[in-house]
Amino acid sequence: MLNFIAKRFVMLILTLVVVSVLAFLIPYVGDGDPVRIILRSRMADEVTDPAMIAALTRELGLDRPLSEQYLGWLWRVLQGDFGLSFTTRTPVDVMFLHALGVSLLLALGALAVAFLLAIPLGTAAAVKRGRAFDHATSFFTQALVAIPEYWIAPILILVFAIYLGVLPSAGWHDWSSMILPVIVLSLRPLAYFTQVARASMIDVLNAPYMMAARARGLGVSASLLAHGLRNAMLPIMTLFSLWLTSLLGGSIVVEAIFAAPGMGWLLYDAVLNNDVPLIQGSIVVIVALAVIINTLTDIVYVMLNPAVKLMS
Amino acid sequence: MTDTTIINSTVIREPGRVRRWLADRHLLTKLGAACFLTILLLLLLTPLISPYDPAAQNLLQKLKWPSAQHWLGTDQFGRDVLSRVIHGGLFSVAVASITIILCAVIGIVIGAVSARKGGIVDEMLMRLVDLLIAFPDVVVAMFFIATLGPGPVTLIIALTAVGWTPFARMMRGLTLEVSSREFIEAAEALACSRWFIIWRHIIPNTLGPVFAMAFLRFGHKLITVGGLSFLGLGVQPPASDWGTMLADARNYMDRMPWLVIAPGLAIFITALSVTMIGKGLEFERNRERRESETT
Amino acid sequence: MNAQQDDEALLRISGLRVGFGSPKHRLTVLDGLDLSLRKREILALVGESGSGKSMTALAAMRLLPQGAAVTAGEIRLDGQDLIALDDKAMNKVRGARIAMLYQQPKIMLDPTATVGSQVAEAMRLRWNLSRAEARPKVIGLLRDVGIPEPELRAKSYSYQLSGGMAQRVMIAAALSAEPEVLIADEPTTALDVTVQAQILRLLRKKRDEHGLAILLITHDLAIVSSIADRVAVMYAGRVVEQGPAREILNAPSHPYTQALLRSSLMQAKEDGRLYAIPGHVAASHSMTCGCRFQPRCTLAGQLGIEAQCLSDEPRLETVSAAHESRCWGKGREGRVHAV
Repeated sequence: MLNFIAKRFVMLILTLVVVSVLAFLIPYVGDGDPVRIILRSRMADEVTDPAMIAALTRELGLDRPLSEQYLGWLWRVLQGDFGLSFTTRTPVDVMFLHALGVSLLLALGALAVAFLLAIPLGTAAAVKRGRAFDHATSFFTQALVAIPEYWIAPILILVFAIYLGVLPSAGWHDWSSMILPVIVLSLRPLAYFTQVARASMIDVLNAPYMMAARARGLGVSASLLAHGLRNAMLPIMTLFSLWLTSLLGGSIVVEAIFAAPGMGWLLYDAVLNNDVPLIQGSIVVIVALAVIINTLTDIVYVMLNPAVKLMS
Repeated sequence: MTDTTIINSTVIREPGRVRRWLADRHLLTKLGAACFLTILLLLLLTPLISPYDPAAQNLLQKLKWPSAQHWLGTDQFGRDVLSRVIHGGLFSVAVASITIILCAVIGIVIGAVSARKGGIVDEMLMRLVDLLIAFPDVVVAMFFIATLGPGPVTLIIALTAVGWTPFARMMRGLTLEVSSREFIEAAEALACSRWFIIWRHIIPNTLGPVFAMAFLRFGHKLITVGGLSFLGLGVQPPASDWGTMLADARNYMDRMPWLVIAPGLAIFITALSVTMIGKGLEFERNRERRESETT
Repeated sequence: MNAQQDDEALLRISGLRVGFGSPKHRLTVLDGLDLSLRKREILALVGESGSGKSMTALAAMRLLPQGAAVTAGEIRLDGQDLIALDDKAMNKVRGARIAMLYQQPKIMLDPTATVGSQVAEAMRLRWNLSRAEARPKVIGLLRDVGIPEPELRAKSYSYQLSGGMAQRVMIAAALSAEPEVLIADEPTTALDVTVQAQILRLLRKKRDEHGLAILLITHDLAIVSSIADRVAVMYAGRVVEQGPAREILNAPSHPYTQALLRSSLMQAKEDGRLYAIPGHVAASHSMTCGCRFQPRCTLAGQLGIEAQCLSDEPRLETVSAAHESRCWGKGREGRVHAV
């Protein structure tokens, strides 16, 4: 078990190093003078005087080898200093705090909706396996996966904001502005959760220990609650964490459509404006979160599932 | 009545290979394939069948509802929406197709090598997969767009960079499964080379599930490509695709909802048809498994 | 003694028919099964695989697999017909009045739940106990079935148990709500020989202490001889012979029982090869009339009564007190034995 955690931890650190190197290199591989880009991210005022630039270059170590510059950059990043955003002229790390909150709210809201609908839907499909309801659910989930969010989102805005006028079309004001983005973000996870819930429920329903529980006097639903759900939950849990990481930084399109100031939108804005420090910071933060959550999930999974623990 | 007896040739025709192959296909596969092939045909025959030049503006006819002349109406510049929808699919479908093929090929090679080599190579590759699989692909795309600039090549590189991981993971499992069968042991006993065994024995026996996964993932790639175009990071003007059409139409959607519905529907139907093929292939595989278990 | 007439029976199965599939394409697996189990009795149900033993157990628990259904007959527990009960009432019968043991104890335990929680389940349902109230009882039960350090074991998981330990846990879980009847479906088949004996002793102890009635399903006649009071031999979905264990084992009347004994005692034939019954169990649906064992029976040929065996099915008829057999050759077999 300790060996397993140690291995995952080493991989985690390695990934973060690789990602940070890639992010560090962004100003050097794009067009534009890296020195100017970096100066712009470090100085509150624009520097144009060549003599000043030369002096600052020496002072900030920008004439040193790349490896030394990287270590300096990494040291500042570890302290939370990603530099100043080109567009807002504020420290990037402050922008992240707010954006992360927004993304987390949207992601958890969407996953909660998906989870609460998928468990009963998947269970019902598993119980009615092979019958019309099962086929209908299967087709429904396939259709959900095929819906582009940038199509359903405008349609929902059209219906609920423009025609009915019951919900705001975009922006970030109160809980009502969360409803539409949460619905749109929940569709795909809903489809995948339902498919996985159905499959693991079928496994569980045929499991010998369920029959033994019935023989002890538990009814169908009581045995499902006592023994089925926990066993069926393990695969869904893994999927849940994968989607959490994916939605935290990856809901760029939805956040852009609804003008929800989350991580995805921040990154999108940064790419549009070539806001290098913001791009660097967003990528490091999003990937670090994804990898950390993923590693933690794997560890929790092994701890929850006693049989796996034995093998590793 | 003339006594002409027509002797029917009652030879029972041996069902052809094609027909037998078709009979084995799941209903979803057939429906999805029919739908997808139709779409591909429409996209490839575009110049022949599109009723208007998709770029031809006619400001007198702008923002018209569907009519006999313009089946799907016209947009804000009076361009024929039907022609634009037919033209607009090519970019997304082409980028998604190339991406998915690259992902599958890379995944197959890495998965097979990982499983056959075992040991430290296997361990390293699979831990890499474990980590990359958690990367949101849009974020990876953003990184590449920020460094390489937008465009189809960037999109293909970006979506392939992490897209191969599920294929590799699946291929590794399948390879281990196939490797335990007798004919691999026989090939090893004959001292066949590693690459020969992978190429001749492992890959042919694992293609079915890989195909199913490729079709299932294709829909997702198509939607992602369209989404990046929607954000202005995919296809660059003056070219356009379904994603950019949707983005343009948003400003007019309260007056002309049709402008939003049409290109989105096109993406939806294309993605749904390939998903159906993938699901159908998956069902076929499960069915075969069940049959081989019971007999 | 016929099942219908046995007034002392605690569990009485009469005329039970169980089939798979729709009415049009039905595959009958139990066809007019009669069986009765008295209080404090260990009744062994023996037969080859495919004879319908396990189906009988599942039917009595009303836990038939999907697609299978009872189409006729009664299963009475203390006079109450279980077939007529609704699902809720049946839930109250399972565990509390009839419990079950299985062949593969390890896979019958939930891998994510502790052993103790599963042992507590039936008693908590029957007497509405809280976890804390059930705990001392669970530990007592585990100790009673011979599990060392029961306090510790109650918190362990199935993967941490050996097969023998898991079966002991399953026995504790089955007896948790003090049922009157225990149906044990090949409870020792998957275990080591030494552990088998321990488990059987444990079952007999439970019978002696609590007056538990046990329906022991097995194909192993050595187990029968060591523990059973009475034996019922099944062939193709019905009972072909039943009676006191000693009598059946020493003086089997039905040619199938005789063949079964010969094959299981590993008696070598004259040529040194082991005896095996020729052919295999006929599916009971393929029979329309006549004796089900006729195709594999050697007695019929020796007695020259094939015509009768082919056209009419024999009934269960008394051989001696409490010993019944379903064979046309009954009473005439002496002539053969003499040969």
